[in-house]
Amino acid sequence: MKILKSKYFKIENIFVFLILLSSFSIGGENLYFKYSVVIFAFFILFYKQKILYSSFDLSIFIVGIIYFIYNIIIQNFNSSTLNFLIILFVLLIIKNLKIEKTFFVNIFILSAIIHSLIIFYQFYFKHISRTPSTFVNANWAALWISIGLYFFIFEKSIYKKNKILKIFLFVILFFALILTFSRTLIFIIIIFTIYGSYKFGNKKTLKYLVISLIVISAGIILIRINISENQLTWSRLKIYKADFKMFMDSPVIGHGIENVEKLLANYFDGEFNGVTFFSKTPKMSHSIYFEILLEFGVIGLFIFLLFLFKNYKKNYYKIPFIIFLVFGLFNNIEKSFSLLLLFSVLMSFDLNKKKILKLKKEILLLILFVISYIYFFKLFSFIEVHNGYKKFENKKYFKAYKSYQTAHNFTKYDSFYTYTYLRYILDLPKNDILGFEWDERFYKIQNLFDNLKIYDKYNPKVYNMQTYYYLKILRSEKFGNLKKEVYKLALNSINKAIDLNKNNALFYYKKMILFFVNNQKEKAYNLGKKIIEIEPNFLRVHKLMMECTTNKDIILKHKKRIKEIKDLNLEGIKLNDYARNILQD
Amino acid sequence: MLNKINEYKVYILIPFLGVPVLFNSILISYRDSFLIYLGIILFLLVFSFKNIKKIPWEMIILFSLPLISLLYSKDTALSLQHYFFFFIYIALFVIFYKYEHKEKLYKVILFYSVILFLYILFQKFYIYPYLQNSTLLTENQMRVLEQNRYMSTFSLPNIYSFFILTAVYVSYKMYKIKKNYLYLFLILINIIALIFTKTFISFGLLLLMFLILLYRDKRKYFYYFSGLVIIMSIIFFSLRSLSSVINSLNLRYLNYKTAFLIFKDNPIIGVGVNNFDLHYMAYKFKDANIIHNAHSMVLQSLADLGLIGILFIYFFIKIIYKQLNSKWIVFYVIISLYFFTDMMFYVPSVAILFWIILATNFKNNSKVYNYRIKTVCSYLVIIIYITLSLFHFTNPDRVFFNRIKNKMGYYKNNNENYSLFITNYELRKYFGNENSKK
Repeated sequence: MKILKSKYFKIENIFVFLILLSSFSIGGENLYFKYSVVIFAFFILFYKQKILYSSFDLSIFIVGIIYFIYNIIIQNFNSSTLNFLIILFVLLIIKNLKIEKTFFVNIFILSAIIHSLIIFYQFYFKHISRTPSTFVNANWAALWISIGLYFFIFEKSIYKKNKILKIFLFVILFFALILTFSRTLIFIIIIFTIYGSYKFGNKKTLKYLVISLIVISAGIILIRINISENQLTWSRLKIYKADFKMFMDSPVIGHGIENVEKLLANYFDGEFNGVTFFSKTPKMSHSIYFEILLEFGVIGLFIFLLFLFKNYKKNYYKIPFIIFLVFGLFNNIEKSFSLLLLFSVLMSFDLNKKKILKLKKEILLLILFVISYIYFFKLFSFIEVHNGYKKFENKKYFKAYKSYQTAHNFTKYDSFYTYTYLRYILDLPKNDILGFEWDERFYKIQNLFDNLKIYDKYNPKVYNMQTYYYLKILRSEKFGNLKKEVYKLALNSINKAIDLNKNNALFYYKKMILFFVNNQKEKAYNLGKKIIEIEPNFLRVHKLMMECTTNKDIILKHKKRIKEIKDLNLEGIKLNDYARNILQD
Repeated sequence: MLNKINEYKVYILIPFLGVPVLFNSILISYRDSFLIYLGIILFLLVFSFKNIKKIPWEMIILFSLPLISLLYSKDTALSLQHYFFFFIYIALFVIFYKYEHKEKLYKVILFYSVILFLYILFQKFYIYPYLQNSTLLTENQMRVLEQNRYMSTFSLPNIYSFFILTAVYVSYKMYKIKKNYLYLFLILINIIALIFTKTFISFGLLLLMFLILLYRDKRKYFYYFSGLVIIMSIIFFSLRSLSSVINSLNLRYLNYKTAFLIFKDNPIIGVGVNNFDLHYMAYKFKDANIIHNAHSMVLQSLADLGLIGILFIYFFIKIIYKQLNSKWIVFYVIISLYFFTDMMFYVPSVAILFWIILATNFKNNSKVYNYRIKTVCSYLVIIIYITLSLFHFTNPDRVFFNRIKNKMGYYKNNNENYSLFITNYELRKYFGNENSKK
């Protein structure tokens, strides 16, 4: 009972604890934690029966709603768009909570220490070169620990009471930070150096700090180069170039929420890794500012920067704020839910004047109910899809089918579950397994594609997969009377996929097959020429081009090229699915 | 003039309760009869426009929620039918809000109950023997005929039994006010009429109603009545066999299960208002009968509206909950239970009785926040529903069916066989094999 009566046992502190705990589950991306945090935020609202907000927060939320409506208008409504609005609201709730500074600082440092210990474990026992701790990305871990280090050095905490403990913990935090080998750390160390010298005001200290800075920076850069040598990497500058091209396509209002991942590959110039140019294409802009620019345009970025500026001015913890902004320059920190939440928590320590909005308990209960309802079904879908995987592995095909179907039905607007369900029906070897007839199977598949075109309209993967389905029909011995129309539909689909991503050679290859199947060999051959411009080592394209021509010299040329591709030295090159497809015989 | 209109507007009930000579017969078609109702309601609404701002918030939200399904319903024509019904309910609530001539209203209901009882006798001896060979009856109506269940001027005995429950309660109320044994006699003839309908749900609810009323008002008679319940149940089951009841329950269970499966496949937004009717064939169990609604307001709301349906039920219950101190609370609870276990909420010929009595005896204790916004919202809801009701009469029946048929015709003409293949399956899925050719 003493604990319950303790001043620390407040709902805000429990929430902060939950947020910090979430960092240990894939950087907050574990759905159980993610959804729990969202529901808990609305529960706090219900519990307190009031919302604290500043005028600018309200404007941000209204702008968020406008963008949400705009995305519905451009037919970009899906799970991500809905999440955007709800999570924006959650972040604004967190931003206006009254969290105890002492409690937060101490518990945050503890979380940073635990992450550091995990990093040491991963480095020494698991031999992972860039250790991410429980985050997906080492840079995210670096951000978390650097903020922990800031609090440890510059704020009061219980850990500094003992001198030996203080030094020991400092060493753990500092070296864990180094082990992430994040290049952004160089900037962080500069910030620490400048702030430290300002705070502690000593020329000698400054001299030592500058020397350590140079040594550490050089060390990080050398080690990073060494690690990066044999991996499939590409230069950051190429990604930023792609970002810029994508931005120029829709500079004012952007491309829509969560569309960067689907569309960025279209603007990438490619990077040759010894086998292919486009086996690795960027899925994010590698900068939160670019991400916002690409999704929301110049207007969105301007509002975001204004929001940051307004919150920075009266923020109690300016340096962690700056650390976030600097990390954001080179990383997509918004992809980690824990980091987003942490940023909101940091923003809550501000001196802005807040207004209070009291709402009837019943209205808040209804809101909590609606949010919980939506998120429970999202969670059920997640659980069902994993049940499906297990049942499939145990060869319980009908039960697996039911699980995938349920997962899709519970959250029709989330394309991940639709893809899983669709993939299963599409790749069924026989209808008998599920007791389907052909008409029912085709109807279900067509419905699922129609669903994907509504909820994942801007993803070339949809049209590619649809072409794959149509090609299966075209290549089968049955359905002679359907093939004429199916050919037209397949061509439409693959053209749409190519429009959305002009750099994917596999899309062009499917189109080439369509021409070939339709006996348009000249068209197929000409398309083949275009494909080998994109991917010169595309083996099956050369083979198909041979079948499209009767010219013996050209056939010989292709045979020679095929031999060269087969003799490629693949030692030390890691092949992903795309590259394997390119080299497939 | 206005006072006369106000006093005699109670007679609006009569067309709804099915006067077969004038309405729903060879003299006036279904569509035209409802146009007349719409006309009458609009006429009376104009004279009651001051009551529009009295509509409680819960009711505004209740009837706004189903409008969301306009965005995603497959067959809007089906939805428009229910929107028309909802408009009737709101409009009658407004027209009868705190109606001064309550007793006149009750007397009309009771008088009509006598007419209906006499009509049952007429049905039993003169009509039913001739209907046995009719080809105009639906599957459900034929079954009702075979079981000798009487429906008076309504289309099914269940619907008539809803009216009887209302009449019994009104009789009881009038007896309490007037202390006239005539009303006890009316209770008796209505109970006999109820037994003629052989509807076990309403029979059960009647017993429950009496138990609650007697417990509340006359504790001594409650104990006597508790014993009488067993005797009455034996009488009921001897008239309508237990096997028939079990069969009905089985069918009802299958109907509920189907509705739940539809909800399970569309848990967030459902399939659209009244689109249960469209999806039923795709989910129907082999042994189940063909129905056009879920036979439960709860399951219909869940199937049609998903999460929005849950909110719909919540606000409906809230309206009742706010009348907790009303003398009619037992009536509201019993009728709500009937709504939850049968299709009566979607049958305006009887559901209006609930809304009219609610409006007449409405207790509005809630504080009004933002009075102007509420007034604007009330007018907006009424206008939207009037518009949708008018659309209901311009749209042809079975819009979705016709749309698929047209698509098939188009694909045949253009030699598009894959689309034809898919559309043909869709037609068979929703409308059964007799409506398509392979």
